[in-house]
Amino acid sequence: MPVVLWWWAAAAVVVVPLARLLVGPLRRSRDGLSRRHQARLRAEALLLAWLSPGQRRQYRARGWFEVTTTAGHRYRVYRGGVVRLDVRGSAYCIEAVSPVPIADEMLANKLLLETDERRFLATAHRFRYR
Amino acid sequence: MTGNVHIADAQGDTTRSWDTADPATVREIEEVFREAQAAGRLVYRQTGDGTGEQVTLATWNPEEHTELLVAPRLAGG
Repeated sequence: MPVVLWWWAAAAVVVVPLARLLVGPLRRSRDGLSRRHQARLRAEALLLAWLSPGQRRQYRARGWFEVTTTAGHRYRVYRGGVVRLDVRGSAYCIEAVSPVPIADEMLANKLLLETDERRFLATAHRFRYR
Repeated sequence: MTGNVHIADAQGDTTRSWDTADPATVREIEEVFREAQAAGRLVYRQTGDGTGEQVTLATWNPEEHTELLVAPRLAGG
């Protein structure tokens, strides 16, 4: 048998089992990414269904939206944080304790601010920023 | 009267429905309330376009409050 064929046979012996070993984890990884993507889409649809028309416009254009509480205080809800607009330099770190897409977290922040600002302030970690 | 409860979870939104003509489905939603309350999660009902109000099992009216959300529990980061 020519040397080239020996090389091909040896390569096949190594490559084929290696490829089989990799296919499972790669497929699981792809499925996981797809599930997370679907979850993000569902959470975003839910968020949009609960936003006011003005908030919806802001979110679609800029990725954040503003909330006015019953006390008249204005906040901006970002992905990953909340900033008070009428008191300069006040920001709040508040997050879901269970793993949820970011849009679910933003929706929870909006509703808590609009219905129970005091509870929001008691829950969130406040920090100053410039 | 039919309604939906949206549960914010790792899947983004798990929706469960009830029909007041079928008491078993209403009891299932009552169980969702109890589980949410035990986990410290707040439940909201949609009151208008972009507005919501907190609702508990004691105040929930399945005939009128037909769009609910179980929000994730929040904590300071």
